[in-house]
Formats: sequence, structure tokens, C-alpha cells
Amino acid sequence: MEILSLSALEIREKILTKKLSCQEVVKAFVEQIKKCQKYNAVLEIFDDVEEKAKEMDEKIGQGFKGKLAGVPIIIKDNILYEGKICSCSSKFLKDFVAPYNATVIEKVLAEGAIILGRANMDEFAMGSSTENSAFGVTHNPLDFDRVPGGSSGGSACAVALNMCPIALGTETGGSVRQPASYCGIYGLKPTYGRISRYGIVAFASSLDQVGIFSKTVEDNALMLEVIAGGDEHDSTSSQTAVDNYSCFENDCKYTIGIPKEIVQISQGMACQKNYQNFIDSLKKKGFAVKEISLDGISLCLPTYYILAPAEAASNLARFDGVKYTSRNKEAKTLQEIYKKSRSEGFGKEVKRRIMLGNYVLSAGLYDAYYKKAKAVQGKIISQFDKAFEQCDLIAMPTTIGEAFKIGSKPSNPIDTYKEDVFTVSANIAGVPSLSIPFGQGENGLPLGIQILAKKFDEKKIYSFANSFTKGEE
Amino acid sequence: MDLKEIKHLAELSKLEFSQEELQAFSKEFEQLVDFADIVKNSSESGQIKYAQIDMNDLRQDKPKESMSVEKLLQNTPKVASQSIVVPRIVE
Repeated sequence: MEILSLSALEIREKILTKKLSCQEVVKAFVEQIKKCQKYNAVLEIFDDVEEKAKEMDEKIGQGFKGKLAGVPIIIKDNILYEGKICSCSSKFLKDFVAPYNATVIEKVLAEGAIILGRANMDEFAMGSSTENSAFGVTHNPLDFDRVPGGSSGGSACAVALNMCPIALGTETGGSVRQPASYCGIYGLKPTYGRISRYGIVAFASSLDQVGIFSKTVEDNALMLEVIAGGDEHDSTSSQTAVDNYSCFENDCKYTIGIPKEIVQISQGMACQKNYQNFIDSLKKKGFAVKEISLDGISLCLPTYYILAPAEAASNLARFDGVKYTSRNKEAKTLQEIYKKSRSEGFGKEVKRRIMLGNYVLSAGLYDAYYKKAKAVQGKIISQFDKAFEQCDLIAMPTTIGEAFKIGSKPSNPIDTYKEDVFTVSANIAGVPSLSIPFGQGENGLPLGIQILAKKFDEKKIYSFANSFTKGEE
Repeated sequence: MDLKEIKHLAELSKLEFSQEELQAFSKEFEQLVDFADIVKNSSESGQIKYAQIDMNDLRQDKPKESMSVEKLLQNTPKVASQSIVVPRIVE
């Protein structure tokens, strides 16, 4: 039990000082994953983890001191780990074996992490609840009848239930921060371009980023230090220098911006009181609080639901039953292979988004939807730039309320999309945002507040979170 | 949006739907399009940038070791003589 509640930094420390072996650590976490099977957070425990742990113990014995030496992690099922299945929680890719490592995988392995397994998700990362997985829903770690959030729900649940200290997810519109909030942990969506996307199955390439789940701010910062940086395999990754994120700034007299439009949108929502409590708490702790304006922010959500499906429709055209997905057995012509394989391979939500994406990209409508959405995005980016001239960080709720009940939002897709109302703006603007656990809802379940910063200002976010939460304890 | 248009869109998307699914879909689609229309009808407009990041650092164009053909084809449903097999498309 003691091992399971340790942070990644503590695990590393204990392994390097020989108080624990990597094998003991891995064994404890694997047992915990097995114990928590009913939550359906982890789709597969990799069969070589004991062997890898043994190798790591030997390596550490020879003086290896990687930043993640002996630290067990879990990855979302859309990150390629060579030789392992990467299914994106889709029937279509259920047997797909990754032929190479994603850059983030190369980086965590080089620093000594042990990858325990792959976590459940909404199919192709499309959803906010993990209910869209072809392999069954993941349950909320604190209330079995509720969702853990999504699309990286398995990763969030795994960290919250101590199946690992850190897990990787991916974000396109809130898929790390929303489940982090629902599960009461930290979840980072970094600046667009901060982390290489090489080896991550693409959903909407202009928005996708790898994200990090952890139980502590320090662990989150440590992981970002390891996986951030430019990559010759991803031309959208930035060469901007990687900060020492885990060396927090001591003097954090930041000015926190509170967008008046967010205050308005949250009126009547379950998160409203908690947001106000957070603002009060900021003032009490001596942070300067400043009202700011982001007047295009209500357009972020519909803008997102044009841009993301448009890019998804194009990205998912590669899954055709020909090159690397399962192929329908009855299909006789090439056209039939495409249609029948895709129709039986993709789930309902994925089909819905492909259809919507092709609609907004179709001849005659492209200018009115896609091009217009890009113009609105331009406006939102400039509003964020202006806002950050007046404040260091921006705070807003992560979610509209607590985790919702499994099966409670089946009929109208827009209702589910509205879950992303607070998170999508960071993706649209390309700025970093960390969801920190703060407060509870009326059912005693966790809520989160997200802290946004200028592009590449992750260090400021971590320093704030560290200073703010220290005071909470 | 009528059924004919939905069917055409499905054809472009290389997806098949049953008649029932199509009916349900056309209803849903109306809501989705109404939602997208908020952007279409908005007066907000800014600079259009197709890439979020102002850079395109291409790597040196030098030959390097690459993946083996076997590895590239390991997930392909039908393979013969290091090639992907599909039904004949030219008569």
C-alpha cells in the first residue's frame, strides 16, 4: 500500500537509494491494476514489465540515474510503443501492432520509465466520457456509476486509483484536463508544439497534443521536462528551449486574470460557486486578481466542432481496410473494402464526426465553415495575446460540474459536446493549461480549476500551482 | 438536410448506414449544422493562419536507415510478394 501512494519523484529516490527495487515497485503497481480491473481503465498490462524491471534494477546498479529511473507509467492507447498493440480503443485497430516508438516513448524509456500498459479511451480520442470506447466504458474512480471523463479517461482513472504515479494522455479539446478534473488529479495540456506528436495517432493535427496526468505538481513538471522539445520527425514541434519546469519560481506574485465572459457563462452551472471560492482563495493568498475580457470565447466551442471534425475526416481517411486496419471479409471490390471495413470498424461517434467534417469541407461550404472557423480562431488567438498583456495567468473552471452518470447523455450529441465549453479555448488558442484539483461539487466529487498561460509559459503555471497548493495543505 | 444529401455525404465519407441509421442521422445532423452555423453567422474575424506554429523546420534531406518492408507490412490484412493485395481494379 505504501508504494502505491508514492509520487514518481519519491519512487525514483527510493529506488536510487536502494530502499526499494524497481521489481518490487512494478509488482506492486501491477497487482493494483489487477485489483482495479472492474474499473476497466487499463486495456492491457504488457507482458514484459517484470523483465524490464529486472533490467532496470541492473542498470541502476551500474550507476544509471535517469529522471524517471524505475518509475512505472501507463500510456493512452493511441501512443505507439513498438511491438505492442495500439488500438485507439477501436475495433478497427484491435490487432494493430506498433511498428515503431513514438518520440515521447523513446524519451521516457531513455530516462528509465517502465511502461506498464495501455489505457482505455474514447475511440480515436473522440468523446468526453470514455463511453465511446469499443472495449467498454471506464468507471469513475470515486463513483462507479459515473464516467471518468474523456477521452483520456483510462489514464486519469489509473493515476487516481494508484495504478501508476504518472500517465500520458492526449488532448484535442480537453481530453486530459476534463478527466483530470473528474478524477481529482492534475492534468496538463501543454503549448501546441511543446511535445512531439510523432507516433501519436492523429485526430485533429492542428490541435492535438500529448498531455500529462499526475497526483502532484512536481511529477507533472518532471514528466514535461522529459518529453518536451523539438523533434525532426514532427515539423510542428517547437525548437523553443525546454525549461527546467520542476525548479519552481519562489516569488510567484502573479496577476491572475478572470475573464468576465467566463464568469457569465458559468452562471447557474454547478461549477459557479467553486469558481467564486477559487477567486476568493486567490485574493486571500495575496495574488492580484484582475477582471479581463475574452469576448470571442463563446465561439470557441462551435469553432472547435468545425475544425476538429474537418481534420479528423481527413486524418481518418487512412483507415480504409487496405493498409493496416482489419478488412471486411465479404467485400469484393476496392470500393466495398473501403465502405464495409470502415462501416464495421468505426463506432458511432467517429462516423458522426467524419460525416460532419466532410460536410464542412465540401465544395460550396468550405468558405462558410472551415475558412470562417479559421478566421474566428485568428481572432481568439489575438484576444488571448491581448489578455496576457494584462495578466500573467488566466483562471477558469475546467468543467461545468462534477462527473456525470454513465449513460446519462445519449440522445443529443451537442449536450455532450458542451462538456468541453471551458477547455476548448486553450486548444483553439494553442496555449498551455493545467487543471488543478480544487473543491467539490454537491455530491462530494472533485472539481477542477484550470490555469492558462502564454505559449511556452508552462513554468509559470507550475510555479503558481505549487505555490497555491502548498498553502492549501 | 434531406436524406439524399446525407446519402451523398456518406458516399463521400466511404461509410454505409442502414435506412434507420440514416433517418436518425439526418435529425442529429440538423442539430450539428445549427451548432456550426453559430460560427458561419458570426461577425468575428481575425487573421487566418493555417499552421498554429510559425515554423517549418525540415530535417536535412539525407538518406537514413528506414523501416523494413516486413515491418511496414506487419499490420496489412493481405500481403503477397511484399505487396498489399487488393481486388483487381482494371479490367
